[in-house]
Amino acid sequence: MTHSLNTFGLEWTPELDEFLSKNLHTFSAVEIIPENFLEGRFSNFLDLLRETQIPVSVHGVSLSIGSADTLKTAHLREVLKLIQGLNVHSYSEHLSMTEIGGIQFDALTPLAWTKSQLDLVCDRISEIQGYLSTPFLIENVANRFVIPRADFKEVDFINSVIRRTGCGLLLDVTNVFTNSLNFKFNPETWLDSVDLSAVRAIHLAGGFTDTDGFLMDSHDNRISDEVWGLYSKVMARSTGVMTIIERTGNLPDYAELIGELDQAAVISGARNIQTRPGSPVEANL
Amino acid sequence: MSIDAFQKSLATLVRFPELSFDSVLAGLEPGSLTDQERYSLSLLSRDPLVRKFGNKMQFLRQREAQSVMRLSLEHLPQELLNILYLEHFEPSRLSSDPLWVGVEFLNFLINYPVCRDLLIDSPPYVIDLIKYDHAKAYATRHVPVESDSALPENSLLNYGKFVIVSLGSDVPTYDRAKWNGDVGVKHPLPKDLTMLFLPSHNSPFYRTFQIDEEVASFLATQRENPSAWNRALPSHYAGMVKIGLCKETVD
Ligand SMILES: [Fe+2]
Repeated sequence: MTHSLNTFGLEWTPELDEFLSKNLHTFSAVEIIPENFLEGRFSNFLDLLRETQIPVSVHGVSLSIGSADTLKTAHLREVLKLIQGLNVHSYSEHLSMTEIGGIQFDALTPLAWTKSQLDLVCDRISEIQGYLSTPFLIENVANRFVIPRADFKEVDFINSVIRRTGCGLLLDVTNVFTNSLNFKFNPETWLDSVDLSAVRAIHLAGGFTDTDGFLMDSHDNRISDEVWGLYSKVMARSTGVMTIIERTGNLPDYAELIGELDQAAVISGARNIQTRPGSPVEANL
Repeated sequence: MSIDAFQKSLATLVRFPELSFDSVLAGLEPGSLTDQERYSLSLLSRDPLVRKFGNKMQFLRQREAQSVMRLSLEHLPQELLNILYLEHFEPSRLSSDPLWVGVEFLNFLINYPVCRDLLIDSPPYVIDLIKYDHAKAYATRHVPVESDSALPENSLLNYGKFVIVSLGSDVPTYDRAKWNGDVGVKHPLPKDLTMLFLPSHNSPFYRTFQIDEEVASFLATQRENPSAWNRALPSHYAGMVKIGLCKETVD
């Protein structure tokens, strides 16, 4: 039942480098944004990942998979070279765009949920999959606005991408909750509609409410009770999922971060956050 | 492809939140959008969330750009900076790497005629402060990567990336006074000097040297020809060895 084991970890940030380097054995998974490691930066941590063979979620942020630009193959090749020798669980990118025709948005920008956009992003994903020997996942984003006159609802657009490309889903539960508050829909209905069988990884994070009442996915706060509630509903129907907590600002005590991962493990019915696929502990389960 | 035009128009709306829908359309070939896309864009151009997103991104870019203006910021009125940044710098620079936006903005202030015209009423030391801030930011963003750590820090081979600045005021002394919290020193005093800024492995990740014109012109010539860095240095540049710039190599 190796495939059914859930794993738990944190997203690496420069601020967490020392903590994660010293305590990697505490976790059963870790996530890296490969762009942080280009040009030889933080190579010691990559060496440690190679040595320990901990399962790694490679979470890219530069391919802008929704934009009509050509695929940045040089960048993709560079990342693939960088992650050689790692125990790569999956390669993911956001279902959004960050630049188009040399104009940068400077943040994840939502896609139009239209037929032409669906064709475009599916072609792009298929092209990326041609370079990969590991699963490719798309992540649902926190929408800063929604593009009107769509052909699909967001969740149907995501399901269509999954069906047409065979890619997996990095389900950001916090983003679902955030969008549900900002754009007034029921997050449970959204989760009932999404293809949960495609979920390979989950993101959890905390955000803050802006002065205009808009909830921001800022990764700098505790995970809210509502998000925990949605997470437990997803985990009741999912197995073999890597759960990653994203904490990029306002770092708390490490004990608090570990506590949140422990909570995720308890909800998922896992023995602890350390057990890795193939480990002796797992064999006894 | 029409989705290409749609995405570029959306990007323009986000990058320039004050732009009207008609101005965005004016930049497109006729017929490049479907009716659906055109209608969608017209709604987006009036969507307060799109404007908020665009303004927020612009605010963050400008804040990032000004974050490297350690010494010069307090000598420039924010109103003037807003004009220089929002009206002149942003429209010329659609692609932005957050790591470099500050260096590029300072470079823009130093080199573009429109900035020189707008800065003409500022005291003469202001441009020196901008040059100094630029050199420091440039050097610290070229911190040698870990794979270079085997190279001796004093080796010039390490430093294809460096900045030479000619100043008409004593900015280093002013910098030290600011660092020491000496509030009596209001601005740098006039003094001609040429400085070299090098990236460094160690905090604060740059090193500075006062150099003479001969060394400055030697380094400037070498930079034009990167392969020359592998050659032995001429002996009459032994002065550079003295200031710890390089290891002397023997032909
Ligand atoms: Fe996420």
